[in-house]
Parts: sequence; C-alpha cells; structure tokens
Amino acid sequence: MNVAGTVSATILVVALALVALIAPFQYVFLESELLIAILYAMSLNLLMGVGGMLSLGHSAYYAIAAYASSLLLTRLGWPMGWAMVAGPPLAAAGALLFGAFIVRISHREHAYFLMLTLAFSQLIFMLIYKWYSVTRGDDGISGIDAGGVLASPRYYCLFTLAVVALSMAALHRIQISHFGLALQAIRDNPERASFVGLSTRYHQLLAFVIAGFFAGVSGTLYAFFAGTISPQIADWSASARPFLSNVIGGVQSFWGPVFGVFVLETIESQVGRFTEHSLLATGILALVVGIYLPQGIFGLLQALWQRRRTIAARRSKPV
Amino acid sequence: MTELLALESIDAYYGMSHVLHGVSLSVGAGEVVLLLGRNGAGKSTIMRTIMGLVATRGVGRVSYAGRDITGWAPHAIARLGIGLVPEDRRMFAKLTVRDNLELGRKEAPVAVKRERWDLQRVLALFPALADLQTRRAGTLSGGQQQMLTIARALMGNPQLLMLDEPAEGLAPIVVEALAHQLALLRTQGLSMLVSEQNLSFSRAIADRAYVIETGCVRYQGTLTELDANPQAWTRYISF
Amino acid sequence: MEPLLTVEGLSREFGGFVAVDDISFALRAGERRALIGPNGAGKSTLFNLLSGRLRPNSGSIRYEDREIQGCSAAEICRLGIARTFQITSIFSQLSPIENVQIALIAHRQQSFRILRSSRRAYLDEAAELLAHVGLADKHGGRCGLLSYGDQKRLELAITLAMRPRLLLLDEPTAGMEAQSRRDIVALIRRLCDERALTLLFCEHDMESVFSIAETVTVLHQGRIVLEGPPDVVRADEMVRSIYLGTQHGAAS
Repeated sequence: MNVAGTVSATILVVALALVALIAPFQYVFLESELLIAILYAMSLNLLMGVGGMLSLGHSAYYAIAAYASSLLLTRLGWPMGWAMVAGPPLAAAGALLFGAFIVRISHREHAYFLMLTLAFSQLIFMLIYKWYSVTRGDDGISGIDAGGVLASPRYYCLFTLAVVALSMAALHRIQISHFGLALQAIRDNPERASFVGLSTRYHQLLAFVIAGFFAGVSGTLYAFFAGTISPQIADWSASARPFLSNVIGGVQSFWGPVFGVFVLETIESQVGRFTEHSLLATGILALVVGIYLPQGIFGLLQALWQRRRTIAARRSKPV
Repeated sequence: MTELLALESIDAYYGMSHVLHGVSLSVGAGEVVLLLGRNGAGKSTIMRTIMGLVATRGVGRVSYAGRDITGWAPHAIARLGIGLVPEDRRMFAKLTVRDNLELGRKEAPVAVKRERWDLQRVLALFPALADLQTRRAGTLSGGQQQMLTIARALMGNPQLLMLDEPAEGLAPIVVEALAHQLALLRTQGLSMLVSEQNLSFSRAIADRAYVIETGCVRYQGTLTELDANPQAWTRYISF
Repeated sequence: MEPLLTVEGLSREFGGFVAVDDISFALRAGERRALIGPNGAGKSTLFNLLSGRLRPNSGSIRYEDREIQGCSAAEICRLGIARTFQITSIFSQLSPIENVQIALIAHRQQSFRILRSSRRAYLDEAAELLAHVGLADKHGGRCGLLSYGDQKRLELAITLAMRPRLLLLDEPTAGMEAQSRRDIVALIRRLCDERALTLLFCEHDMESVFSIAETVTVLHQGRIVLEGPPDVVRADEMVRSIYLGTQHGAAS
C-alpha cells in the first residue's frame, strides 16, 4: 500500500478504536459485529476476487473454527487463549482436506466447484446438527465467555479490531505477493498459466487454505463475541452473506467487500424497520448488481471517480 | 450501378471508446470491395457495425437495399441477406460439420441470377470438409474451422457476403481455390466486402478498395488507382 | 552429437480419427525447422503432444536425454520447452510487465511466496525482455488493449522469460499484414541467434517459412511425407499438389 493508503488506514483504525472505547454500547456491539463480517467477506475475496473461484460453502470453515474453539473451551476446559488460537488452524485443516478433493476435480469448471463447496458446507452443517453428543446439535453451545480483560465488550471490540486489522494487512500483503500474482494469472488464463510452469491445482489449493484460515479467524472471533453458537452458522444461507457482500461490493477491488458488508447491513437494519422482508431487498439488489454492475457498487464508484479524473485531465490539457 | 450497401458518416463505440470516426463507404450490387489496413485499424469493426453488433451514435446511417438499417438487431439484418464470416471462426463446436452447415441453410430471398448454394456445392468448394462431415466442429484444426465458417455463410445464400480475413490460416492451395470460387461468385452477382491482408488473393477478386487507418477512411479508389498512388501504399499499408 | 529432441513412433488418435500417425524425427540443438502441411494434417496436435497439452497414445519424446511424453505442461515448461499459441495466449487482465514478471516468478519457482510483494519482482529483467521484443515503452495498462502485433511480441517475451532451449511457435505470423510479418520474422531470427535457441514452428505464410527455416518438414494426414531444405521442399511436385498450389512452387 502506498503512503496515502497506509496513513488513511491508520487513521481509520484509530477512529474505530476510539469508538470502541467511548461510544455507547450499541455501537460497540455493532462495530464488533461488522468487523467480524468484514474479515469473513475479505477471506472469501481472496478466493473469489483474486482467485476467481466462486464458493458458496465458506461457512464451513467459519463454523469449524467457531465450534472447535467453543468446544475446546467449554468441554475440554482449555484456557481461552489456547482455545482461540486453535480455531483457525483447524479451519485451515478442514480447507486443506476438502480443498484437495475439489480442486483436483474441478479447478477449471467453475459451476462444479461452486456446487461442491456448497455440498461440503452442508456436510459440515449436518455433522454439527446431528452429532448431538458433541455439538449439542440444534441446542447449540453457550457459555463461550471471553475471560479476563476481554470480558468487557469494549476491550473485546478493541481486540477484534486489532485481529481484523492485522488480518486485513496480511490479506493485502498476500494479494500483492508473488502468490497473489500467480493466482490472478491462473484466474485470467489457466492454460497460459500452466504453460509458464504454474501448477494451477496447488496454487488454488493454497488459496483455499488461506481463505479457510481467515474465515476461521472470523468464526472464532464470532464465537466469543456472541457467547453462543448454533448449527445455523454453517448453513448455506450463512455462506451467502460473505458471497453477497463480495458481489454487491465488487470482487475486483480490495475494499469492495467491505463496502458490500456495509450495504448489506444497512439494508437489513433500515429496511428491517419497515418490513420483515429485508431479505427481499437484498435479493433484488444482488440481482440488479449482477445484471448491470458486474464490477459491484464499489467498482462502479471507482470507475466514476476515474472518469471524472480523466475528463478533468482532458479539460486542462491544451487542445 | 445500384448501391446495395452504404455507410454514411458512421461513428461507432466500444463502450466509451470511439473506434470509428465518420466512416463512409459503399458496396454496389455485384461489386467486390476490399478493406485494407493494419491490424486494429478498424476493418473488423466496420463489418461488425454493419451487422449491428457495435453501437453507433450520432447522425451516421447504415442503409442496405434502400432501407435504413441503423440500429437494427443483428438477426434482423441477417434476415435481409447479409452474411458475415467473422475473423474468429465462430461455430457450434459440439455439433458435427454437417449440422453446422445445415444450420446455416437459408433459401435465397429473391429470385437471383446465380445458382443456389447447397450442401453439395459448398462441399465441392471445400473438398476437405466433405471428408469431415461427421466430425464434431470443435475437433477441427484452425484452418478447417475457417473453411467451415465460410462454407456455412455461403449456405445462407447471402446477397452481400462480408468476409473478415478469409484466407487467414488456410493452406496456400486452399487459398487459391477459394480465390477462384469467390471470383466465380462475383461473376454470378454476389456482392462482397472483404477485409484481407493477403494481397495476391484480394487482387483476383476485388474491384475497389478502402484504406482504413485508426478508424477512419484514409483513401479509396480502384486497385489500379491505388497502385498508381505510392504514397497511399507506404503511408497506410506498406505492403 | 546427441539431438536435442528425438521423437519416435509418436501417435495420437481422437475417437477413431488418427491425428498423428507414427511420427519420428529429431532436432539438433540450434536447428530451425518449419512444420508445414494442409489444414488438419496434425501440426497442432503434434505441438500439443510435444508441449504436454496432450498425451500420446504411443511413442516417445526424448528431450535432453529425458523421456517427457506424459509429463504435464507445467513440468515440460520448467524443463526448457516454451510455446506460443495460434490464438495469442497472454494474461489480458494483467499489464505487459506483469505478464513477464509472472513468467519469471514461475520459472524461478517463487510463485508460492505469500508475503513477498510482486510489484518489483524481477523488474529489471522483465523490462529488458520487453525491450528485446520491441515493447520497451509499453509496460503498463491492461495488455488486452495492446495491438495484435504487440500481443504477439508480448507472448514471445513471456516464452523467453522461461529461458527455454526449445521454442515451439504456432503460426507466429497469423493474422498479420506483410510489414508486421517481416518485423516478427526478423525478431524471431534475432532472438534465436542471440540465445542459441532451437526452433520448431508451423506456418502457412511461405515467405516467413523460407526466411527462417533451415529444414522443412511436411505433414500430411498425420504423417511426415517429406523432410528437407526449403528449396527442395518448395520444388517438390507432391507438396505442390497437396499444399502449396501453383503460386509458391517456383523459387523466387
């Protein structure tokens, strides 16, 4: 990121930290929730935007981490720190296991890939739902209490902010890395990619694992934020949220999904005030964006901004 | 000579990009007109604009057989008897060669002097395709696909045939046969607009030529006139 | 001296149709050979077999003392065989310099580095390669917007980034008008000279063939029907009847 970008990001983080410390509780909770949703959406962006691999099963890894951390804490009595730290690697392991399978089969067939990711997340959902003895099925798990200094919602929010900010920085780094460029090349022209010596399968698998890891981070953060979790977090409709955030916001830019999360949240809270059918509004918006705005809303804003700049530049040029 | 196709001051756009600037040209009934110019000059764009595949804006008009077809949908334009053989060899990859050809079949719109194109005649022009009739089109080599797209366009019995680089990728012997057949078609009254960089191929069949550069018509005239103007050659074509 | 590439008894069929039929030939290091023949003779299939895009049904391909039939495309690239495609194959969403950078990154096996920024990766070398193919001032922008000729040059730069010993060019002058053809031919000759490359290319433009090739192999219905210096091939009656027609027969 360039200097201007780093400075703006730092200002943003500081501003959010202040909100966490001094704003009324409802905003603190909102901030935590949104930060978690943002990281969730960003983790999927590595797969969808950079890698061009559409996944409707990202909730699997979110849920694996959430359940793993929760169970380690509540059943096995692990200390909170260790329980938290264990979540994301286990999610990544799940992504490795499943990724190895589907990437082998379908790394060129996007439709098949989509269906298989969906199938796997449903598998995880059913596993959590049915395995009552371990997961308490539909009853869910409660009592996932962050202890010590994190017991305070404000400090938990700061903690979430720190984790999310670091994760976003890492994801950005990965996007502009050698690996990120390789992924983009594979997305752009898979054939030429193999004809420069890039093994499509292994690169896509690594992307899958990294995306799963960061989904796991957001899942663990969520478990301790909400205090209770249920199988619903693994369901396909849960996968739809980060997916839609990416689509609506725009997969091609780094900040697109962030924007998408805000739009989604705004629709649900604002439309939700007037009617129960906020989901309908979300659906309509997704449809409109899909048809008319393939670059997403953020992408559109970027394009408009670019246009203004080119027109201004043309005007100031001597004819 | 009656004018079959005319473009008047056409401005065409790919999105925000202004690709054709005030292009005017015409093809008379029974005439073969050549579009010359480097890659990216706009020759393909002109053909696609005629076919209704590229957006136009402003006062420009495209007229065919006396009707204003500016802004018409491509399928409506095709029904009028204009056939396009695009550069990129579009065909139905999963269907056989024969099916692709059959799908292109269309009866000639009005009573015409020339013989109708049918499967037999088209396969006589491209004997290599005769051996490939039951093969799936997607399994053909590049040059064979080129032959197939030309053959399919002919099956539509067009009044005006537009060919975008027809000789590209074809074996020299096939190019010769194609030149002969197109010359024959010309004597039978088929009008053609051809964009081609293979000059020996073009000479055999063309009456007039337009030289296109960066989306504008830079020069026009018969081939003999063009020959006599070395400036035009070196500036825009340098063959 | 051992040939660089030895092909023996190579065959490949597609559902009963034999595209490549028991082909054998050898390329010396530094040789420049053209592959010509009628449409559907098996040229592209042969290229696909040599570059790993397809597996042969039988036969062997030996490169630098290794059997490579059955190896994947990526593996074969890493061994030093690079190819271009009839329909120019580049990364159109990336900029020209990024196209070359990723080829360099892949060649050096650095493509799994997740924390190292790619912005300046092998930048000097990539810039040099672009300059070598005549794209010195065209580093940025999406290369889908490059002219056709420039895209072909970029594709050449990408292949060179892989430091190949053997270059397979599939119709390198396809779709170009005369002056651009001559430019590309001159470029190919210069690159082959400078880097001591072995070249196998297929072409329909006879002028390009005769400018570049030392030997010409004629393919027909999946078999090699003639192999020899360009003059001999060009004058051959059979070749004229199946492929060249009447215009290219006489030596100019």
